[in-house]
Amino acid sequence: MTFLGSTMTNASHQGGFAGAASGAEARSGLESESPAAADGPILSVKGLGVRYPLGKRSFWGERTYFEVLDDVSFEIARGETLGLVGESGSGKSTIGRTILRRIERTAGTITFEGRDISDLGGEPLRKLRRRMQLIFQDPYSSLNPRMNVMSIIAEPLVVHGIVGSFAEARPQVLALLDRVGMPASAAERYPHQFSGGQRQRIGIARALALKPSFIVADEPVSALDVSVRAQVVNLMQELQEELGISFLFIAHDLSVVRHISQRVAILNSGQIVEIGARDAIYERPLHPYTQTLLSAVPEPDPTIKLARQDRKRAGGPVPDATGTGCRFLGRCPLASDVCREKKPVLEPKGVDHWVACWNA
Amino acid sequence: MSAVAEDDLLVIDDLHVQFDTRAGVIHGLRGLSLTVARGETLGIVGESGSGKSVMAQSVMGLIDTPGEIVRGDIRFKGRSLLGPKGRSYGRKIRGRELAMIFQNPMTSLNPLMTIGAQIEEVIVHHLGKSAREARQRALELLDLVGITSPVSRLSQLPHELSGGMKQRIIIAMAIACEPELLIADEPTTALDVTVQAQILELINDIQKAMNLSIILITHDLGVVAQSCHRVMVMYAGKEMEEAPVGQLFSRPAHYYTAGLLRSTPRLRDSSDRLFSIDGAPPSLIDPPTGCPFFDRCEARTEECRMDPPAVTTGNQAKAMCWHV
Repeated sequence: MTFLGSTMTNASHQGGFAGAASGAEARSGLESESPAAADGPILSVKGLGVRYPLGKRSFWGERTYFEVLDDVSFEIARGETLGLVGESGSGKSTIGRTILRRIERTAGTITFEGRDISDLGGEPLRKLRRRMQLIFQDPYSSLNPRMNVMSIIAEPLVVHGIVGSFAEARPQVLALLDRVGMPASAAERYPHQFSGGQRQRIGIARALALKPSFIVADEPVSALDVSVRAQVVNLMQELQEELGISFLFIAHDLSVVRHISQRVAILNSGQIVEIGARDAIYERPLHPYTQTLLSAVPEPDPTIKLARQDRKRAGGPVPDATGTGCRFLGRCPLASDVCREKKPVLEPKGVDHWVACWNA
Repeated sequence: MSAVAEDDLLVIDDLHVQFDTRAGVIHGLRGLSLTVARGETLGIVGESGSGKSVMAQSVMGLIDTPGEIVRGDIRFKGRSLLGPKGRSYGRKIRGRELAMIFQNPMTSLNPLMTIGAQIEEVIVHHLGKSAREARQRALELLDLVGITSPVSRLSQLPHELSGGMKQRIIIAMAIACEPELLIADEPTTALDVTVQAQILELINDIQKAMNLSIILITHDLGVVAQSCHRVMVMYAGKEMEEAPVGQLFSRPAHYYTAGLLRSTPRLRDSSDRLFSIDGAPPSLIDPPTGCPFFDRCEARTEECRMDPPAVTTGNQAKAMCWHV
């Protein structure tokens, strides 16, 4: 903590004047720090909460809030992929962006590479952004149509002062393009000249440019066709093996997550309901929500008929002012009185298998 | 001719559709033929750009400049939908005997009209019912598509409903006039898995109840396996293979179909690597002659540069390949 405090005051002194030289210093500072934390998880999130104000009932009334994330805790080990699964509105993307400090949390701590980054700001935060990158869902809208591929990939290098100019970045950009399976000739071309899969490769190359140790991949293959999706999933796995990058892989597609993740977390209405080793979750799902999700996936095999369990109507996430009770209550086949009164907490149910349910 | 019309509700014969764009002429469909029998669900599978939506738009008369149907025929109940006579026939049956639901339920409803007004409009316009009769029918329809408390729903606006709910409303509007053929273009793609399962179940139920013919367009092989009788696989504006659903999944004849099946991730499979087909679909501006899958196919030979034959691979099954 003292270390953290000192860098923060340091940054406030330097402010916007920080040039490339101080950038190099801070980077070496980060690197010298990492061996100490090398054994621990790369990312640890504890009690993370995000809420948005909903307004007041009356002028003197109490303000109510919509709890987007409620007490979310998990860890990601070095070189590991954690798959984060949930339906739309469950808060998957919010988790990713809160970790990257793009959305401000209202509770909890985020520890990255052994260092509390929850309240980092200014220059230290900017330095930190090199270490953690984001791959977006939609390759059609996440690349600037008026920049060529060369500039798109070189931009983070220039912005962070790693190279002096776009021209200087050329060798690195070509190496990155080669790494993601794109020809060097792609550098001079523009995003609209590429297919969805190729654009996603460009997005991955951009994310890799700063040599991050952690990447949040927010539905990176959802917009892609089947045959291309497999190529991109495999590319991400190769990169992980080669570069040891840790991933938070956000998806709603349970089949893809099974292939790419070592561990899986299931999110419902802003709460993690089940988390653990991949095969434990898929072969022995214990939370009724996980079971519902798995039973709803249509298998590409006509001999396996859909035996879905979700007989109750799905409702959207309900704004919960009091925060009591289980958020899956309305849809749960196992619901009982205790579920209404007390919020379930994650409890161990096996080797690396945690479930938040009173009745599982 | 009349005997054919009895079984096959819809016949598409050697359809060619082109789009004249600034970049060049895009060959959206290159000689597509298909038939849909009464009471059958035909799945159309293909990646983006394979021409599945162009096919649907052609049937619905939605191909507009710069698009053009340059060759071929579309017949509904034995009568052509093309040409001047066909166009007026088409206007008569579309929305009534021929209905379509679109992919995105968020944008298919008018945000400024209540649910009730939108459903009733369809009924009044196509069936010439009175406002009171239309309201009664709208309530029946909402009940049919599994919407709770239909009376209060009628006065709600689209933004008050969830995605699955909206898709149910759109299905209700599509079946309002008891169509004989329903074209569903990616009806569940924008929905969550649990909601998707509900909507697929609903479509299956309605199909049985109304003896409807359905063309279900999707890129999701799981959806096809769960709800279709017969499947056609499309690629680069052409048909690659068609077969009854069981056969297609157990014994795919075309190398493209086999590749698609192998690269589809499965829930029950924990292997770490996915099979992937290298390369990408060809450009439709200057499509290659011969088999469109040539560049990516593991079994390609010199003769594949010529148009492949349609090889019969079973009852109602064929594959366009030299190496079946």
